[in-house]
Amino acid sequence: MHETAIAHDIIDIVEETLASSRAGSLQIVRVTIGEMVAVVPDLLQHAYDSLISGTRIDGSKLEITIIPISAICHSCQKTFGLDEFEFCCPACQSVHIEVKTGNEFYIKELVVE
Amino acid sequence: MSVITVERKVLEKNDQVAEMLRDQFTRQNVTVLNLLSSPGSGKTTLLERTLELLRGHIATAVIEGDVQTDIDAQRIARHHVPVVQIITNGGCHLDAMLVRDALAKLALDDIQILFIENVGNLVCPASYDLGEKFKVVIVSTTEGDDKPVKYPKMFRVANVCVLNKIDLLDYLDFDIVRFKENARMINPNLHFFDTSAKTGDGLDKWTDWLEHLI
Repeated sequence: MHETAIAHDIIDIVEETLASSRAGSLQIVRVTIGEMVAVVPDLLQHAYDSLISGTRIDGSKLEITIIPISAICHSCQKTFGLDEFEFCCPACQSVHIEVKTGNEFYIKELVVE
Repeated sequence: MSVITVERKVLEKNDQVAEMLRDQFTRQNVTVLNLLSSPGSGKTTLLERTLELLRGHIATAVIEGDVQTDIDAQRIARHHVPVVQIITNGGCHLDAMLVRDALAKLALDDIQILFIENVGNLVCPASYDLGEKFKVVIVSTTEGDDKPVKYPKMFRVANVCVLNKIDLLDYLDFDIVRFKENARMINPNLHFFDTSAKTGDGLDKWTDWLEHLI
């Protein structure tokens, strides 16, 4: 349930960006979240909505893109996706894998009017 | 409509402060362990026993994170160890800024190992770097051997896993082999200690490891 703290962080960055850009009204905040990041998108959206209520970015929405977990096996060099958090290679069962995607957690861009 | 590129990490503020703390800990030769667990794992009892066993060998200090009350800090203070309580007032995790503020109340130069007892929670604290050297996840046998599968992120980011309450193994269906297999599937580099903070079993290996950190 750290979505409220995260929504605060997002709003801080959004406000900073808007303050330095002379932009119009904020419509969308595009956020990229990897599956390894333990964030529940719906909870984050609700937290964001309630925190911006009555502020100058009231009415803006989060648009969340989820990045699946993928990894490369250092034993057989195969690249694969992880569906069940089983951190082993589906081809050779090696656990010597490196996670390549799924840890992303950033604000990509803002859409303003 | 226009698009403003941002490309900034959501947790950048926390991560920046955590890196500053890590530099500070390195400069001042303080080894920091972030202790993570569910509520009721025996984390505070394990810490109390650990502080007693290290007394006279290693200068320790504790930052206690709790949602409410300073009960745990009072328990730690009985062991004559510097302790700072952080009450998060509902917050489910400690962040680097809270740790930075708590450090103002500790004489870091006099400390060799600093334990940060995080808020009891296996989800949120996994995302927040506190500048620690090791993340230690503490699990008790009463919680079930499927904990790693249910909280994979925590086990993925942890360096060390302490399995506590092993004195109860005879009374539970907890399968210690399956537990470690589950945990290693998520993180093959996890280093395990099996302990009972109540009987003292396994604490020697745990404190030996701690003593070798400095």
